[in-house]
Amino acid sequence: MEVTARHEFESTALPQIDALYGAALRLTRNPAEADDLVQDAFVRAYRFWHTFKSGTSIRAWLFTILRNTFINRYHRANRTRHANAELEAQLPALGVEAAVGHPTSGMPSPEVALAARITRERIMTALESVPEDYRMAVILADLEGLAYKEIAEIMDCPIGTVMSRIFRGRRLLHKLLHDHAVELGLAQAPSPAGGDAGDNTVHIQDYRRRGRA
Amino acid sequence: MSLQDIRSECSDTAGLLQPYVDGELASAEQERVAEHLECCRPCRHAVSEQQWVRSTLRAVKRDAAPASLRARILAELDGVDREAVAAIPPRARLWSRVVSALADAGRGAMIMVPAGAVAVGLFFVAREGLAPAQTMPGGLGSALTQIREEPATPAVAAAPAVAAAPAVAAAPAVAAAPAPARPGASLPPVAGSAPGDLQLVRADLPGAPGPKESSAGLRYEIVRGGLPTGQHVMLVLEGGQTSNDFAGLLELIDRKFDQKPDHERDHKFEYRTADHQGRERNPQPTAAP
Repeated sequence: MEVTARHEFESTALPQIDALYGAALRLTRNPAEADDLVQDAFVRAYRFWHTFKSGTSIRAWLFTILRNTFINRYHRANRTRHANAELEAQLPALGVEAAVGHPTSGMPSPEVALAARITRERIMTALESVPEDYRMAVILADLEGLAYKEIAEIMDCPIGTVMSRIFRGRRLLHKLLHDHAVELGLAQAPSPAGGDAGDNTVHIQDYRRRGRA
Repeated sequence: MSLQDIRSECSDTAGLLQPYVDGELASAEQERVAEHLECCRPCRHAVSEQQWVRSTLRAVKRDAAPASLRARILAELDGVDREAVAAIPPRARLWSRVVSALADAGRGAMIMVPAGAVAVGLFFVAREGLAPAQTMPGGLGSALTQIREEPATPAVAAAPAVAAAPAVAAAPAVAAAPAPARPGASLPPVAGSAPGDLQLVRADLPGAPGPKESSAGLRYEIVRGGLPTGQHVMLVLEGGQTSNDFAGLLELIDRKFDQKPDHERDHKFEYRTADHQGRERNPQPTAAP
């Protein structure tokens, strides 16, 4: 390849190596495989470097290649079925409560403090246990800070699908990490009854609805 | 409180909660959701749960890639740089149809392509001096020579060609001493009318003598929307097995590809899935982008 192309690649694409490696680690759950995956993705990206449109997101472009490489390398046929099975195994355990949120842990501030006490390793383990499509969406949104539109391009799906994958992925993570915190005594188990704030809320809401009608 | 309650009471804003969390709303909508959250506890919970996970993950420091990985990648890039430049001129509506059909074949499918298509591909490679025909042993060399001189002449020693994704599946057919071709920025599109659908990433041409080893492989990567998909198509031509009528093959391909509407193409292009290699029988339908 031309010297300039090589130079461009090294200055534009290669600096993303940590981002790709971080995602690859969570996808493969294995450092050696993450190495191979990232290497494959970069070599492929280099071969196709002329197709990268400057001015567009280099990260989105590289993550698309990473994801395609990952899917082709590690999955092929059974991917969707597998992800669904994994998902079905996990969701019923969460129940409706998990969707609604825990009545006693609604406020963000104590939870943020709690987050600091959950180890990084624990967070990563939890992330790795989330079904793959959800995991990918959450990695791209929360670890990499990409916009919905970019994630939609990378994952080749509509933005609505991106949102629901992120939503479900985070919900599972919340459940996993919150349970862990409860085990450690860092958080209280959710109480079944709502507190005062809840009653007030319902009241105000009803009041406003009546007012509107 | 249940999901049903949330849906009935909060249907106006339900679809906005997630983009609210991720800051993807216009400010007016952002305010509307904030107002709703003031008075709706279930939504507030859902939002705070999402926000908590989001901020927790954002606070996590990312793993740095090991220095050895960077070195490995640079070495691989050197390898790509060293590969010989192969220029394959665009040509032949025939070839472009083969290409588009291959691209249509979809993910993970293994397909059989009439040998003529492959012979055409090899012809280009040989003509460009990537691997001079005279160095090719056995039937393949002479086959190429014949194709070069008289493309429509019968009696070319070409066996059924296998197109496979992934390429590994067809590996046994690839010659022992590969002569890597080289893709890259300077490579023109393979297909005339469907530029960029396939990108040549490797060519293995026969180096070892012997009738059984006179085979060649071209490996392409399918490109969609300017992005490599990671799906490969491997064209393998095995020499010295059977004689096929090259002109007949061309005609066959022409007939199969000839201006059929897309929904008929799979049927008309009677590629066979390579179940003799233990893979799936039917190509999966191509996912719409």
